[in-house]
Amino acid sequence: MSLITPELKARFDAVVARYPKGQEQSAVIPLLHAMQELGGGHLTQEHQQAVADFLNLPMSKVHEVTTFYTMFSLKPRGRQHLSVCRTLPCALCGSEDVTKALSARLGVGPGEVTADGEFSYEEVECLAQCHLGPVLQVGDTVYGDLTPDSTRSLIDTLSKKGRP
Amino acid sequence: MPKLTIDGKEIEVPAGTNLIEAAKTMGAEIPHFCYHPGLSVAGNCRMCLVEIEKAPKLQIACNTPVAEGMVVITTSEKVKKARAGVMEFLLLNHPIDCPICDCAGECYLQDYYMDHDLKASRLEEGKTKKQKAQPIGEHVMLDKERCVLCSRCVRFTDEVSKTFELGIFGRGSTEEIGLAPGKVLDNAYSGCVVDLCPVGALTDRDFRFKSRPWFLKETETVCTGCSMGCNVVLDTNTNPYNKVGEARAYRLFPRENKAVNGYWMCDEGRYSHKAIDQGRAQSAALEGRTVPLESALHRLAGIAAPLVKAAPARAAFLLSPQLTNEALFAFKRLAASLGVAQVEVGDDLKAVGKADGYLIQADKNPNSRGAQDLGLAPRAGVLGGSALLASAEAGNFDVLVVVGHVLQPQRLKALGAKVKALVGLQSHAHEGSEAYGVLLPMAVAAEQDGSFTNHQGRVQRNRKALEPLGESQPGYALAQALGHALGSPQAKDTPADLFLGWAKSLPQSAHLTLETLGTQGAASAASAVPA
Amino acid sequence: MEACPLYLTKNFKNPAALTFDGYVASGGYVALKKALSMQPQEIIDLVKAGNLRGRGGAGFPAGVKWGFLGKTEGPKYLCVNADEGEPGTVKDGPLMEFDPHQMIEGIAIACFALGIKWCYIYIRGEFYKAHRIVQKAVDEAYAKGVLGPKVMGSGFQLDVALHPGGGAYICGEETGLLSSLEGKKGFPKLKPPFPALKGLYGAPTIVNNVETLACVPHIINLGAEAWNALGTEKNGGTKMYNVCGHVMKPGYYETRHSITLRELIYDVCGGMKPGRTLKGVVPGGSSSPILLPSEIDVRMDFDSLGKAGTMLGSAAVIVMDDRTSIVRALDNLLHFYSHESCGQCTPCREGTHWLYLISQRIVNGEGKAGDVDRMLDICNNMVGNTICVLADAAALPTQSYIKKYRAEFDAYVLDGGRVGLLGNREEKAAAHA
Repeated sequence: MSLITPELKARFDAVVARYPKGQEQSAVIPLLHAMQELGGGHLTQEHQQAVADFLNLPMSKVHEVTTFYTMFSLKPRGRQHLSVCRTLPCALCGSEDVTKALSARLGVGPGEVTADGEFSYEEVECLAQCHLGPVLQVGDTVYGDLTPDSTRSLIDTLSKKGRP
Repeated sequence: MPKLTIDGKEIEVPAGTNLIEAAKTMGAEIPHFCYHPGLSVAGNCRMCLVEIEKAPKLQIACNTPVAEGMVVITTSEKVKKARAGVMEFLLLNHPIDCPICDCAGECYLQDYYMDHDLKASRLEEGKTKKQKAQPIGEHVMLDKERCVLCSRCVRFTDEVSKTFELGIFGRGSTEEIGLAPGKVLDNAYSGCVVDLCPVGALTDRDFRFKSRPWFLKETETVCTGCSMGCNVVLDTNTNPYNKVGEARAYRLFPRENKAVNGYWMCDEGRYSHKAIDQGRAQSAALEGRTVPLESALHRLAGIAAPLVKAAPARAAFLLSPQLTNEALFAFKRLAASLGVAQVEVGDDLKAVGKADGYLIQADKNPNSRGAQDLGLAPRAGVLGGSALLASAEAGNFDVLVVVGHVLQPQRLKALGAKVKALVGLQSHAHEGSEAYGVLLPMAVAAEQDGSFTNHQGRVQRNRKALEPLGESQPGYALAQALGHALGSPQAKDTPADLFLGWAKSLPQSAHLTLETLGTQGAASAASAVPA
Repeated sequence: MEACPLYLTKNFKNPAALTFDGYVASGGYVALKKALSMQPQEIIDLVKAGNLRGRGGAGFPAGVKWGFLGKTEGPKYLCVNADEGEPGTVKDGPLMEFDPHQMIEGIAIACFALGIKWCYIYIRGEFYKAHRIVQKAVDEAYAKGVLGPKVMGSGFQLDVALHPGGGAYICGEETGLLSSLEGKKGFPKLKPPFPALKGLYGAPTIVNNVETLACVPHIINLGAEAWNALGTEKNGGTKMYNVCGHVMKPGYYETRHSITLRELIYDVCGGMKPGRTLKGVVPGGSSSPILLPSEIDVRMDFDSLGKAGTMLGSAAVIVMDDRTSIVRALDNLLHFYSHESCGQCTPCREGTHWLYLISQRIVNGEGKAGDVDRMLDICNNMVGNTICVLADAAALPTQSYIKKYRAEFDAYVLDGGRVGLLGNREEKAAAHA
């Protein structure tokens, strides 16, 4: 269990403590989120096994979770991963053009990572920011009212590793 | 008990029974994929939707317990349309592999298509492609395209074997059954997922491409791999026009017996059918030289008979807990008629392994209990297996008949030097058997009718599926032949006759006959298990 | 249109309300104090009398649902459904980000009324900001004795914990949420048994939407009559609506529950963009059947919309003007449902994907006669035959789009061309490999 340092164990123990005794499986999603963050944005088999061992769960149950929920990635992502919404309300406001502009500006397709490892993007379903559509999310920040131009500017800004 | 009506017929079943089981009691089948009585309810295939009066929507029968006065309709247009709809959805992305799929002939999709669908595909687009022919363990092959995602196999590895090798990964229409990363399907019951799979997604690697099931003859019998006596079906084919290869036995799979093995069996037992056809002793031999059976018996008459007559105390029968009750009874009777007291099953020589706390027993013999009930277990006044052999090696026995036990070559050589008439009754050839003065070929359990008593004390029917190979004969028949050769002719009893004799010798068993054992067996007199 | 006093969104422009003291200063935690002096059954009856309809989507009367909670000496749970994901819906996120204590107060009152000591707030995984803000508010609530062993000094004990989702729309379905909370895939559970009897970890559980719980303090404060007066018969109170798509002022608004769709679009949201006319509008999230411009004089409450052949659902209004290709709009949604289907049961897993495949063929200019009728037939085989209503959520809108805009669908198939979502002609997509 070399992935789980004493600090991490303390963090994980605190998460598990939120749930009743015998229901440690509940901690799977929060622990996988934490693991993925430590893993630089994606989960390896080792990560999943570490969570499984920590919670005394079979690997099958952890892998079922990582392959079911879209926030978990088993493939490498860019240091800044952009989720651009494709669902109807954003699409009605022009998300298709925004996505095209994003892809062109980054020079990669969905699910691919830029050569410098900085960016990747994917189309996601409704992010519940429909009044601001089109939107995209990077980390915990949501950018709305996007146009192809403002999208390109956003990438410029994010490239400088600063956030507007 | 609640009374309810299914398709106009009133039935009464115990409270808590689901509608699929309730329908079974009146001989009706509600089609289903994911439901299995040995597993938790999943309710995901939606094939068992039925109409229930007063319910606004169709309900799944597998998850609906009976209720007093419930009125169930399975034959309405609504239900028919629902079934056809589900079939269409299941077949939508299902590959038309039937010509190359082992499951053809015993496939739920095929059967239900004929009963509930019969329409052409309406898919204009391509089918979803997934990985095919992936071995996921020593015994099991997975074809992900054929899978209908009923989750039976996953529930099995979760709930029964509790080994968690399998899962359903992904989401939506691209979901797949698969191995958990880092895992292989290698639990001791892995073959059971093939029994469970309603389609050809999980198939048996041993049976792969060997036969179409409709060419196989089914015999309901029991496994002889250990003292559990799991109830099984043995599939055989002896038709030279449609069989593949030399083997006559093709596969073994479990059948339901709630008192014994539930719905399952272990892999070791499942693949024990290979021993039926491999490495058999098919002819008699004198000191390793093949001779006709008649000649071997003639030799016995000439050499062994006088020795037994002169000194029955220097003769011994070493029987085996592999023998049927009928064979054990016949040998016991023979020994008594010859005045031979040293007759015993060699308990300390028998094959023993590790029990797993579930079905697998440490005693790797089907009839230790039967031998015990007949009084052939180690007891005072009689030498136990090892003690007998040691005494024979010391020269205290002129005649030793070894029935079934496979002894070490060095041991056999030593015995051959000291025992004037060393006789072996063996089903399989083995190293060192040329030490036997006379070797008689014995048939295996699948080649004879009879019964075994499992470790619970349950007497179960062992049914004949094949004719004995070569000149081999069942144990009880060899006992008769031996009797004739040794000067004590025995009655020409059939297994049924011998069973009656056996039953009478055990108090409170006298009411049993071989026939009345049926397919589920019965408690023996000496057991505490209820009938 | 009658002006509406604000309750749910009253603190949305008051950042001070994010803190306990600021919330109290705005009139907060008075309802909780009052509730703690009432009998639990009184509170349940009050919520029933207030006709508080579940605001997650189903519109089931909250007080009635509370009444179903199984009696037991063992643990019972309240699960707050903060997995906002119905396309078009924006209300629970803002409620949590701008007035977290309002929700906490509602939780505390509900738990007191139901004798529940454990509450999990299941927050959508993508809602990092809301999660942080709610956690801070919960921590403060503990510190100030509103949560913990002695709620406001009473004998009532309540613990609240947050739980993140992982990205799955189906976890907004109450039993999908429970499966996810239990650490599994978000597979909805077979019903019966219903969560009120056998829910989280097999214990009696109530699952309530964020907005539903946020209403509870106001019902206590106003009383049933005044709360009802803000709505219509059987649909009490104010309501949050999010309006998006082709309107001048998209956004979330709190109004009377009796507002009409026309008033919402034209009076509150400033109507259509210059030079544009209304073509169609989805009244209650993407899972609700679409309405024609001639059908918008309908009250935006659960019962009125139900009678009109659609539903209020999550009160998410998606407005489409005359540029819109309805065929492409449906295609967009069919991708959504196919992607979000959990895959557990046959009709939904295969049906949502099949619908999308046919739709894609049509929008790529390869539609055939019979395709549209086939889609209707597939929908018929999905509705009512599945474990949960995601199949219905895909099928019922599909049927409404096709039935109400049939000519457009037929023309699209006949035309063999490609029209973009906003009406522009496009190059045909590359042929399938």
